[in-house]
Amino acid sequence: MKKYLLTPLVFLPLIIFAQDKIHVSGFVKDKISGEMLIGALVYDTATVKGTATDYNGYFSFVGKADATIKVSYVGYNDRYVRLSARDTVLNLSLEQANELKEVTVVGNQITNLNTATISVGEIEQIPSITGKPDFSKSLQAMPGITSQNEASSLLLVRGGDPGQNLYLMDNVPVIYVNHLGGFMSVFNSDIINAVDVYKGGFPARYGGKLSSIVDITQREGNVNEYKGSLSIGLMDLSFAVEGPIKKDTSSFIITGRKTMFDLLYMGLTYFDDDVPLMVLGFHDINAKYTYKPSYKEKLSFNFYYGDDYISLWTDNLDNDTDKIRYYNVWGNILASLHYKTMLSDKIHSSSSLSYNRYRLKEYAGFVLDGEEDSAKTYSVYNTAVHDVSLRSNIKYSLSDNWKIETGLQSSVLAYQPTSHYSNEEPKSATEYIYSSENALYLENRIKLLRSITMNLGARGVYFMSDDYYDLSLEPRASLDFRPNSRHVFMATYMRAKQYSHLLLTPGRINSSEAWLPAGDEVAPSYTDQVSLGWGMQSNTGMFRAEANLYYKTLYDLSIYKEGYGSLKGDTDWYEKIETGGEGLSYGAEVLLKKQKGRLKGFAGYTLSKTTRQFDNINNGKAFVFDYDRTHSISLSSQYKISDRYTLNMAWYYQTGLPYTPTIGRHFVRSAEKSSYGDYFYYESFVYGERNSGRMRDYHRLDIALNIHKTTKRGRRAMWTLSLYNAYNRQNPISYYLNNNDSNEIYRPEYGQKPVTLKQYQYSMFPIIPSVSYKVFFDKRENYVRKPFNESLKQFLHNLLYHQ
Amino acid sequence: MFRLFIYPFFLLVFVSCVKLVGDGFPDFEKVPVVNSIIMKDSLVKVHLSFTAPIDSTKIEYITNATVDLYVDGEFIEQIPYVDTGMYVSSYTAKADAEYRCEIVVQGYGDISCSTVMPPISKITNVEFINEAGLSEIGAIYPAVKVTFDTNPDEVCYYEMVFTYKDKGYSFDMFPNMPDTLFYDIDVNEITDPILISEGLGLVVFSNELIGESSYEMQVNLWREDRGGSEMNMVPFVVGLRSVSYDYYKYVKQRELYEITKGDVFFENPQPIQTYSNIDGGYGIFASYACFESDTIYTYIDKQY
Repeated sequence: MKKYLLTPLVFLPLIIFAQDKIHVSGFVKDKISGEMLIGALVYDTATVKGTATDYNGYFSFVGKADATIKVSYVGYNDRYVRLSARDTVLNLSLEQANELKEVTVVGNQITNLNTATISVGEIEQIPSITGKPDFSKSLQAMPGITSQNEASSLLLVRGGDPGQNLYLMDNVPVIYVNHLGGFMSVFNSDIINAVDVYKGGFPARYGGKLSSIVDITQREGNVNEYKGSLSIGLMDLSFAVEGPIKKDTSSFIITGRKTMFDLLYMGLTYFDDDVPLMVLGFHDINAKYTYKPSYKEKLSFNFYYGDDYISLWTDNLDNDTDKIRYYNVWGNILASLHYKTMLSDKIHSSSSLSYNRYRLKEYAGFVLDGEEDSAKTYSVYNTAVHDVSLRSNIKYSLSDNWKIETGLQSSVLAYQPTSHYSNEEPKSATEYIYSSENALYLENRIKLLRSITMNLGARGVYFMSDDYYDLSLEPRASLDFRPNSRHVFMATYMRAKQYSHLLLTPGRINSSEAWLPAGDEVAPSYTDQVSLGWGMQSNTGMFRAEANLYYKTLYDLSIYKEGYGSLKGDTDWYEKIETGGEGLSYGAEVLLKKQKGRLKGFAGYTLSKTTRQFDNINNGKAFVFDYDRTHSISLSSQYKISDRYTLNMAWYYQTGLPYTPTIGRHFVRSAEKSSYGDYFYYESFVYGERNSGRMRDYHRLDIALNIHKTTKRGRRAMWTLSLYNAYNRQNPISYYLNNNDSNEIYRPEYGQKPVTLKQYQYSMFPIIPSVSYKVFFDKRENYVRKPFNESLKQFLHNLLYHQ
Repeated sequence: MFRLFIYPFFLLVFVSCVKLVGDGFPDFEKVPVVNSIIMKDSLVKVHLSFTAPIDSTKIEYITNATVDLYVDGEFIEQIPYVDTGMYVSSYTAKADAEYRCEIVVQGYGDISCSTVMPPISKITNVEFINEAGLSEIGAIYPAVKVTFDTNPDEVCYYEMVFTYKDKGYSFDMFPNMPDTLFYDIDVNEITDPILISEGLGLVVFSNELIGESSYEMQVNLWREDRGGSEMNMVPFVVGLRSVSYDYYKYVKQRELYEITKGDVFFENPQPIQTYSNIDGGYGIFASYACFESDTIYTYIDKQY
């Protein structure tokens, strides 16, 4: 009986709007470079109904026969296409607009209120500490996303841990995402096409992590002409080269970065007999090859390699016969093969095969008295993860109002949480732990009524690790209500499960990341999240507003036990992990955006609360999450003074980070006897509840001036002059106790008499000026060098008359 | 030219800034602190003091408490106060017994704390190895192989200590120097699997993974002791302490407390308090029974 009742519901979408409809699908790309445009709007001009292109530049929707569709993308001229009476596949190219011409963007632009989308243009607008764009720092300005601490690239999304974000680079998971302990991200903005961050309401195709999906689409390289850029900043030197291998058919893009201060530091320490020779830095390289035999088919190969390193030699020291060689190196290597094809006008498929490896290696070698043969010893510590993944996805328009997306994701992972050797003797467990994670998913996007769309999906996962296995079903649902073309209301529910745990000690410049799979000792963690959202866009597209409420619970979390910060040097390392934790996070997010005009920008606000609870931590009581910030505000603006000058400003305010306060002192008995055979009593601290204190609030203003110019040889170039922390706010990194204002921490020791203590804050990153220069190598005729005095005149005119 | 840019940059980024946050701390409630580790063949001593706020330099002793001692449930005596917070009983502790103290501090709640001193475990053999291996920094270290009895049918906790005794000399400057001085010998790299499984560089362990009635444990030592004498010239004694569970927890957690005392860069894990088994207060009430080996004469090249 029940099924009969349900039948009309199932066919409801098919019944509604059945007449004179055609199916329109295809791709939108840049006319000159051939680069796919992600997030371009394609819609019927009469009904203002349509869709946006996905990360393949692919779109698919149902329109009226003979209707006119409009294709628009910020920074490009609009394009209008008259549809025929039959189902159509379109391969559309858009031309870049004159910079002064504003593009009108209207329609159902807001696709998912739980998604923070950021374009390359926006990444470049937000000032950073190094003067060069960094996508992680730009994302941290979005509501619901914060950083771990100052200058860190790690993302914390809606009260999640840093290890709960899935970073996908062209749909391939990346394990380690930071350079220099979080100072910069591993993702080079020169190769990024677009970034979407799903903070909740994950579609069923995404899974494996609890708190966010950071979906990064890389560029493919220009299929028509050779281009490049070279950029030099205070931190690093970077380059990008791209161009066609066969015009209109295949292209490549290669980008790379290398820190410069390590070479400088090495040079300085080499000539100094009193300090060891030392190197600290990173390098990375990204390469992508794309082959498009037709616009419906694409084959690409990606490669990424990046390492951070700290290296030390004492050979150069004058009066030291003992020699030390130390290095710590960590990073990713990734290779992937992708194939995408449009099987018919209603079916699009994509598949990828990838290998990714993260490893950390620490080596310390010693030669006593310079006698290399007699007393050479060493110690090696490793932790690593290897991941081989196969991913396949199919999009299918089942009917006018029903689209499905289905696929499988299969990964084989090899974890080495800890491996420690000393002089070839194993000092801790060294074995790899193998696991396999296999997921099948199905998403249904069903238009129930003209204004209501439902997305129902589920993800089934089968996980195995040694003798442990787990089968789970993760339901996903969202409901959109669009009363008109300007407003959208959205409700979502999601469950996600994570079969790997990241253990890390924050703050270290060298990596302390150790990944371990779920198993008998450490259960997989999972989350439930519900969210409600509203979004609107003004008629002209000038303003956009979003508001979200979310409530998120986390279960079976794992962290280090109290007092531990590493798995190193222990056979029974599971004993150092506290499992079975629970988390709770809820909050409200607001985003206001001005998208047009000389002055563009956004304002974001987040009000949230996040807690954690573990049986054996804080006496079993719930405590404030390590990175909880009650209020978080970000204001970002870009003011185009003239064609030549752009002023970018960003201001951030956040409630201070929690910390565990020292509240008292008492006597403890010494562990060892004095030489007189007595035990003695000395001072020990009493700590308050975990994270029950709050440091001073954080705020900061960053300013950057971009100066576009043309070189003598006709190259386009850009200077960026920036000020990080422009009003030199001393934001606390940590609180500590001392009886004087040195940065030494007071540590009660045996035989030490108690002294009067005061609380001090330690801060870094005062006002930091920086400069970077980027020169572009592309067609010279595109650019005309303007006389300097003319530009200056225009700049002053605009400034004086507030234009 | 480039240096002109890079030096100021590093100077600005990495020159830290320290600022006084405030010299006022929240009110901190004063509570009693009990410190007592009862040792076999020693008088029972209980040290009482109060907690103190951070901005006070004075940690008060409790001088007027009533401290009642019970052994195996039987009242022994009210322990008299001696000096500097110390209450010393006339009772000499014995192994394999339960000790309980009922403490009344005026103005504060009653405190009750207890510990069970385990029976001793015997050391059956000690072997000294003058050159046992190379440490991670390339130093040759000596080691001691200690064989001891344990009861595999119940969980027992141990601590091993290495002490050498030196003759004390009376100087005018140190008129109270005793006849014998004690020096603990530091432990070098941990290689014994039972000790490694404990996760810290301590010689405090349980017999959970031993599973036999006898076990031979190798403990590596530093070649030089604190007095600067080399190990191959020093006679020393191995002590095997059969410790109560609370003592085992206390020693391990105190090591973690020391590790996590703080770091301006937050490189350390969250701070952890020293272990306390005192309800209504802080401190430790624990016990151990120590078995000492014969004196080990380690000199190789010349007579001591």
